[in-house]
Amino acid sequence: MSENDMDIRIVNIQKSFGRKTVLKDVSFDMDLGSCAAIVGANGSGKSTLLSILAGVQRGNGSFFYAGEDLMKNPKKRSSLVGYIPQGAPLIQELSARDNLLLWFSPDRLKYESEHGVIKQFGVDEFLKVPVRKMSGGMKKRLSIVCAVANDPKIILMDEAAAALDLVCKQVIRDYIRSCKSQNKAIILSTHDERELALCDKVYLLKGGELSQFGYDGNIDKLVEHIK
Amino acid sequence: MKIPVLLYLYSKRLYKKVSFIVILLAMVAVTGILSYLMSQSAGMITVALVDRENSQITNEIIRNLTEENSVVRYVITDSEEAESLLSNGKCQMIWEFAEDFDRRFTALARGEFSEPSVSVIVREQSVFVKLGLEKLYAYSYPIMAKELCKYYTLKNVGTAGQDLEMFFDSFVRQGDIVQFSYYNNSGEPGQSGYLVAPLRGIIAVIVALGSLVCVLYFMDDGESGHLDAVALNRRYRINMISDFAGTLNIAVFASLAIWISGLTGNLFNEIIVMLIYVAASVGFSLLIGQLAGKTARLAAVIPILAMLMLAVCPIFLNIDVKYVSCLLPAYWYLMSVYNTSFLPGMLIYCAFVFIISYLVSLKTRR
Amino acid sequence: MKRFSNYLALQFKRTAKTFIMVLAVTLILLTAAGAVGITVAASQNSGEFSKKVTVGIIGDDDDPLLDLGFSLLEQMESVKLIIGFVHYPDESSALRDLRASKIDSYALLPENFSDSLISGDNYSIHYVMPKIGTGINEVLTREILGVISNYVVETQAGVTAMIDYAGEQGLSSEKMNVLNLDMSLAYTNLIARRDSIAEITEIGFVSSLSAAGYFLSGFSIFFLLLWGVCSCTYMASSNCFLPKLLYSRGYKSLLQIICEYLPYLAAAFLMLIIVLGGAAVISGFVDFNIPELYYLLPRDYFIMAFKLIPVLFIITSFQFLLYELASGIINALMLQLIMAVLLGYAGGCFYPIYFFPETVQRLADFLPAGIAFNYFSGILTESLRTRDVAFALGGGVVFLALSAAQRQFKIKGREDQQ
Repeated sequence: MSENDMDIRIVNIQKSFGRKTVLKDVSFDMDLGSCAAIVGANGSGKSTLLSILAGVQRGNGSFFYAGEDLMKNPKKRSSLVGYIPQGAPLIQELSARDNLLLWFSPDRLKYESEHGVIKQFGVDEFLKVPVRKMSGGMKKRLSIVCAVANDPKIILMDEAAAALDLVCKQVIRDYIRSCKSQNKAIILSTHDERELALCDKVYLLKGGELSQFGYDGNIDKLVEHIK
Repeated sequence: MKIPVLLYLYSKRLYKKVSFIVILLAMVAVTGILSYLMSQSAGMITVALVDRENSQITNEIIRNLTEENSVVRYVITDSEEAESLLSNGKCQMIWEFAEDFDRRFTALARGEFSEPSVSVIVREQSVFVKLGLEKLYAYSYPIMAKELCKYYTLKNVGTAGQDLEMFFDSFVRQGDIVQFSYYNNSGEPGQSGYLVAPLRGIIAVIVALGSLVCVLYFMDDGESGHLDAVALNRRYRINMISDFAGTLNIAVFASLAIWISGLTGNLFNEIIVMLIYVAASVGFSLLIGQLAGKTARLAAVIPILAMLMLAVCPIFLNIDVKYVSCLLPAYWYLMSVYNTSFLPGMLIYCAFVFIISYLVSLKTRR
Repeated sequence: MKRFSNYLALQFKRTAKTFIMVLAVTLILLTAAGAVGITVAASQNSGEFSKKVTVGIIGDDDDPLLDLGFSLLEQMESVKLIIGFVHYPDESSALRDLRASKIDSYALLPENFSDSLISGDNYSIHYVMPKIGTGINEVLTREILGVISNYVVETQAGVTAMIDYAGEQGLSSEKMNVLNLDMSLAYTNLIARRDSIAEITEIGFVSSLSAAGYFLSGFSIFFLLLWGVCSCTYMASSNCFLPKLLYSRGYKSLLQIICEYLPYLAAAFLMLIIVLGGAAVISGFVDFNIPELYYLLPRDYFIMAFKLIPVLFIITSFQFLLYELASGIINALMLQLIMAVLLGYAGGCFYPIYFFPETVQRLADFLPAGIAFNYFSGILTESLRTRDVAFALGGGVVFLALSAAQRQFKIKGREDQQ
């Protein structure tokens, strides 16, 4: 079986906080080389869903890749999945280079700075700058690079482009395109119209239930459904 | 925005953090538990009593000592156990009543030469050891005084019958000649709980430190750019209101902790003094915040101030460094809460710190 | 293992970057504490917990019997250490000085007080004091006044009983007056010789602390508790993004905690070496006047730093847990301060633990400050028990395990709960 035939299947993800059910049997599937967007109102459970898939939070259900349930194999999941949380998962007192050393070996750091993802996000330009002196956009770019250091097959992006400048947003969109071309799967939660345009499938999360939404570029219609 | 709205919003912001409420409730709970435990029977020194004579006189002295509610605690034991208690610090003194205590004691009372009747073993001399010894002398004295009375009367009057003892006992029953009262506190003056009383001081220090932390929080907001929309000339006012909101909320829990500890006196007085204290703490914190300038520096100053307040304010120690302690808000609170004549001084202090902090803010604004 | 070493190395680097600032703060704190300590020592007439209580006396200055009484009192060593007397002509001037805190209390002797003593009528002394926070002075004063009162009452009882009895036996009033005076002198003599009852032996310090050693231990433990506050700017975390990302990549909570804690412990150890190194240098010029340190050579201070690692372990792991429990700088600082002060008090850092009720003494054995105190005093007196070591190490492990559990809870918690 070739890699292109493999499915990513998310089956019956459930999550409750006390009596409140946040996710009710959320299921969907996608192919490698595609991008799926999860949209919904604030607090609808998008971040919870992504963090369950990333293994950060516990939840019921299955997350199949190549027929194997990654929920039951955390080691494999950590090597296959890259998770970009909303905030900046960085050590404030250290420089960008130090933060990258947590995820890259020195040799790979050098290579990626010249040819790879570090250069792609422009992080090589501020390797020596301490995190606390960075702008929001610099922190975000660095965070993304840290999160995808393991060259994951599946990338989970939680509102990665929120509150960033236009240049930064463009860099992220370019990255999504390049991932798709490299046959990687991207699941992202977003409120950004142009990011949605890059997605092959758009799912609407409302009242804990996920449904596919036929997004045709009409943002007003999407907003109506989110309400 | 109006002041009440800002106060409400800043309070709400603090309460949004569950851990803020949990920490303050923990303060109340820990203080309550400590005050309950500290109000149990305690003493400043423990004495191991070894009675090798076991006579009527020694029994009476030991009974008198142990029945009294004193800061000296007693453990009745044998020589071996007493030595072990002393060596491991469980007691600070051993009093061993000699085997022929009665003979030696009576001889001493009659003014004759005698060997010491009690062997005292201490690790080192201290005020409390001296106080303990004074209790030993004082509780031996009634028996000696009676013995001297009998002996003297027999020698000089020629007889010492039953009536003499009756006269002696009837006089002693008239009791204590010292009446205690507080000049600044209404109600019956009771035995002060010296272990519970410092809790009020500790709580007061926590309120002042809480106020400093609130200023630090505001400064952190400034450094994070959350106050960029606020004009520089309005920041002092906003800082004051936010600090007041935080300190007031901490003070509410602090008052609860004081009440739970059973330290609350006149309620009206307590509320007024606490409100002025909140204002004084806010003024003081604003001043320190202005002088520090940066969060890292202010955070560094806080433990120093904590240590200073605990040392020089009348909490554990009553040391004579008024010129330093009067610069700290906790001093004024602790003096005013018991002595309302300090209230005007506290108000002047309040005005002083606000004026100085405002002037410093004008300078730093430039 | 590579993950562990990677993250550990970065955390060490992070700590190193902030250590200079923390060390500077620590040294300032220590200097301030030293200044406070010297001030306290200089202002303590009694050398212990309270300054000498100044008592105003309002009574007849010309009364020879009162003069005799006061000179007798001033010879009593405990009175000499705790109370100093100042005479006032009237109550209003004494009250004025009391309000201005020039005196601590005053005693109002009623008119004809000495006559009342002779006649056996009990005229009460009115003792007036302010209510203040530190109850310790009041307690000591009450105890001493109780003792004085006891001497006066018992002496009066003896003299009055003899006079009444002699009267009953038909002795003349002239003879009774002579006996009254003679017997009063006999009682005065007895009070002056009261310490002949006891023979005092000082055995020194075998396996427990001297008062100065106790102060040193209490101060050191409280200093270490407060040291946690100095590190707040880099220890207090406001979000959980990095732990979450690390967790998603296989860095378990315990591993994260160990990697973050070890540099914190190392920084504390380095700080201790610097402080004790300073103490070793100073000890060459200044006598600390602490019996436990008399025979220490400069190198012993360095050895002591290693011996004190379990103390650092229990205190720093406790502080680490507090930082883990509180989110944000305001909560972290408040929690550190509240716990340092309240637990420092309950653990015997401010008053000797034997001042406290039995229950508190037993409880203190299980509190971080109390455990650290027992271990510290064991090192100073060279009488360390296995129990002290086990409690210090076990307590530290428990706090780290709790920190890991809290980290796990934070990672797995809802987004909006952070």
